[in-house]
Amino acid sequence: MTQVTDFLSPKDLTQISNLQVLARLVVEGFCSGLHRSPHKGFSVEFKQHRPYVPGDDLRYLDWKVYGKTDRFYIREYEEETNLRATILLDCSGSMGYTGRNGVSKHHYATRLAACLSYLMLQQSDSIGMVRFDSRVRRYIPPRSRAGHLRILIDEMQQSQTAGETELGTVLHELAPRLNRRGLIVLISDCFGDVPALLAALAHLRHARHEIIIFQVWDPDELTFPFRQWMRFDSLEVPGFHHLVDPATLRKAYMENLERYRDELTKGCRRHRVDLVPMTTDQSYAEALAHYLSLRRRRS
Amino acid sequence: MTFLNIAMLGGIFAFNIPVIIHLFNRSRFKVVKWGAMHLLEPAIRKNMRRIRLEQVLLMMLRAMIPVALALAMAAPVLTAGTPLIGSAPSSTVLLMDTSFSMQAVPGGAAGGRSNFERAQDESIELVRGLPSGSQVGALEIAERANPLTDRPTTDRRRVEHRLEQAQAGAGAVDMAAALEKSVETIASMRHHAKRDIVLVTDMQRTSWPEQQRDRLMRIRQKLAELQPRPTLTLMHVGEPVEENVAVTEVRTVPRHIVAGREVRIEATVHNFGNRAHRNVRADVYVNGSVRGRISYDMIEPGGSATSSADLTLRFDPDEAGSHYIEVRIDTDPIEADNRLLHQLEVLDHIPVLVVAGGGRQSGGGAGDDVVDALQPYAAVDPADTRDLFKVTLINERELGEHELTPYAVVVLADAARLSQAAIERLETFVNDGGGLLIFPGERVAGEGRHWYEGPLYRSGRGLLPAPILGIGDAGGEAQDGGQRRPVHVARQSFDHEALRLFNDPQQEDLSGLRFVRWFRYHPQPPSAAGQRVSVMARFSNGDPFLMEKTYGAGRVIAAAGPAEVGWGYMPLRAHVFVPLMQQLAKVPALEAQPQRNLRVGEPIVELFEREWIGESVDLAFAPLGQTEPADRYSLPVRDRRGRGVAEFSATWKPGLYTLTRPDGTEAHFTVNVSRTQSDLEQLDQRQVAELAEMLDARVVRSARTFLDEAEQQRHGRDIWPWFLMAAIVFLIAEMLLQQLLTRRRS
Repeated sequence: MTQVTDFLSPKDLTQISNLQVLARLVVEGFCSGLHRSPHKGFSVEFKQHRPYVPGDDLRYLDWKVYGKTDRFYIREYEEETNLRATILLDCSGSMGYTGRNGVSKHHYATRLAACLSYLMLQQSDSIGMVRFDSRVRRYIPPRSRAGHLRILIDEMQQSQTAGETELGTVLHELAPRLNRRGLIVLISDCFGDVPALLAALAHLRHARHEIIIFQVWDPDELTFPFRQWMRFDSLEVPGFHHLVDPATLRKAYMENLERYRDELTKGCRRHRVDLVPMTTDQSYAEALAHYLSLRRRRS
Repeated sequence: MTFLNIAMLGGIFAFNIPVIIHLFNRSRFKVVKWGAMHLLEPAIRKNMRRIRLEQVLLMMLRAMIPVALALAMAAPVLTAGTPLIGSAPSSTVLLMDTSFSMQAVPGGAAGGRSNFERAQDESIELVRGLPSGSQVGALEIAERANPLTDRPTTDRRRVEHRLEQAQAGAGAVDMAAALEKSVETIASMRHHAKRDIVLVTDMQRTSWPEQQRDRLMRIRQKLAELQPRPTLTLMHVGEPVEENVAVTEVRTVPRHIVAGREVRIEATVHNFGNRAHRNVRADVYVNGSVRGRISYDMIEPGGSATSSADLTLRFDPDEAGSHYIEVRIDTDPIEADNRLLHQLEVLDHIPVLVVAGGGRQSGGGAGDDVVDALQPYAAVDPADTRDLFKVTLINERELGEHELTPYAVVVLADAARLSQAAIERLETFVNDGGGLLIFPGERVAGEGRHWYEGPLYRSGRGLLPAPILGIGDAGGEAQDGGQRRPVHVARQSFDHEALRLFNDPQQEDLSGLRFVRWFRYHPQPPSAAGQRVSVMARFSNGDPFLMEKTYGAGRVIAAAGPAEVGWGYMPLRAHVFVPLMQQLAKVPALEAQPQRNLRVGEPIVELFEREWIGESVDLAFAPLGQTEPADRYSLPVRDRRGRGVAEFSATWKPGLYTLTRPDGTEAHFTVNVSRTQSDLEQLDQRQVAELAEMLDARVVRSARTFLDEAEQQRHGRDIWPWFLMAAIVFLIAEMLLQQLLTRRRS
């Protein structure tokens, strides 16, 4: 069934200022387009028995097994609660780039985060959010109650881009706070030092977090279509700029881009991190599809 | 290094254009707030030096293109180190004197080489010896400078061929005009830095008249203004020739020939040499056939001798028309002045209409005196037909109906009353080229005066040359007790063609004509546009005696007194009255015909009846000494104030031009060279040196000397092709670099 969002590009959706409305439109439209409802198949299920060890919660002793075998076994379930997901929203200066389609990367990222949040809460998952730039600016722990979406969305709407991207540092800083393993959804352009980023991802992976990265690009950053003389003012370092004839640099830029993406892609694959490149002219539904695909694969 | 076209150097500043475009583009940059600096910055860091180098190189190439072009267009000339470069081609203007004096043969030996043949040889050697690639503009100079090739050329073989074909004898040379033409020519030849003007001439004194000094100085100045300055070389060829006898004048006696009357041929021969010539004989040719011989016993050095031919010509009435005679001597090789052509117009008669006043047709009035003066032979014997004029006498009342077209001249002899129709006929007649003589008398002073002042004068627009202010009366001038003192015609030298006869001391002058009463014409009347009024002769008291007015194609002559006895005694002074009347009637009749004995360069003009306008007439030219036409031309008959006129101005060579009218009759025009150049005296060495100094020229005696000196001289070499080549190289390099950069960008 065709939904209204099928006709709306991210640019059109920017006209919808209410993130909650937007998220609902996107998610409902996306889900109703699927053959199988995402609400089914995600329930708390018995996984296995294991021998009791001192310290285990006695609530999970399987007394029936004890009656039959005279041994203590603990019932293990898939998850006691739904998924704990944390969206890491990059609000560094580089996310403020607005390309020729009029949609800034930050704008796109916040809407994507809203859609994901809505979707997760619809699935009774817990969802939290970290807003950061060069350091963590706000941390909202994961919750699964319905009113939590309002808190997340308010935070997203208030977010502003500023500062340099220091993903590695930020993720290292976050790792201790994300003590319970869960899903980490990083929405960022991932600009910055790639080895540091990969090290931080390794750190998180070591803490047994699932990581999915929605890497947000503006098409301009991928094609570098500039022809006439341009002054490139840095979004992250005020006052830093280059006045160049971009046509003469395009080739070198594209080589750098290729190298950077290759390095990042390989690093993510090595650490079993899902890297989903998104451009600001892609529909949010594609991101949702990626997310659901990941969830299904992991489950 | 110098520049031939220094103004073009301004184009060098065009090198700014690429820089300005670059700066302009840089200043029109867009600002973009960019996030992916980590991708851009390494690209800048890594490539900036290379990019900057490429851009600087590209900009330098682009800047050098206009610079190289501007330098090429400024025609730079390298003046230093040319011996290393080799023999540079030159631009050379060669002026070869083809005036008839060049036909002189030094020593006078038969079969010897003329100065012209030497000039030809030297000119050819000079052209042949010029460096390869030289551009040559060769001109033959006589009455005018005539290019031998369409334009200056590097095809020196063609120039040599033209020089071999050139002939001398085309008139006298105008050196100043020739040099001016050479300056124009050399200025148009900007191909080479080394530029020469070489004048090959016999340095005849008459070719360098003192009056041309200012023009020559201006030529020197013009040459000095040219960059690089051309060098002027006077190549003095040939040796002095001192002996030359020329036929300087041929005339007929009487001057105007009437069929049936005898005519005598007279020719004047001038000895321009240093020794006397005895027993010189001149053959007389009439229409190409020998008809007689003229002998001159002795012609002193520097003197002239005039003699008549031992033949007397008589043309029959059916031979009326155009004829030509040629008088030829063979004392020296200069054909151009050994022969003199002369055209004769044999008249059947000049038809004259005499309109007598007072209703008289005959019987002793003014009309009869005029008729007798115009037909003196017939006055004695009515059967005698030798008179030039054939007169018809009518009275004034008949004029309104009388057809005027057959007449050349109309004479109003005291005609006082003319109808309006008669006046209009007269005006049309004069306007079409006829002549009108007015002799007012007693009747005009009385009843006809208002008529003269009215319709005939028409406030200056009519036929009468001037308004009549009053009647002069000798009694009013009495100074000794009332005794009359008549006025007489003032003695003077007359300029008017009709009166020049009376300048001859052997001819009785006009002062014998006395009048006691006369018409006082306004001496300086206003004249209408296109008309000219002049006083031909005056009385002793200053009042006009004869006045002339041009009216359309014709002319009107008005006398202040009657052509009858009464106010004066003019008819009684037959020795004056008859030639005066003949002249006054003849000049308007004959002078309407254009001159047919011309000098080289003077235009041929022939008049036609109105009905021939739009037709074409043939003109054949037979050069002097040849009988068969060498060239033929077709001339259109154009409308000029109602008359047909055919003109031909390219009479640059002496000879016979025969014009064939649409009705098949012929008119001959003779074109002779000016005898001013018959004096073959050359400038001496001192004079040549002075002339060379004045012109800032050098003098050589041969082409070899010129070429040797040119070889030794250091001249500049123009290097504009190098700059043009550089511009092309820069252009190609810019295109290649641009293409390379574009490929790299894409």
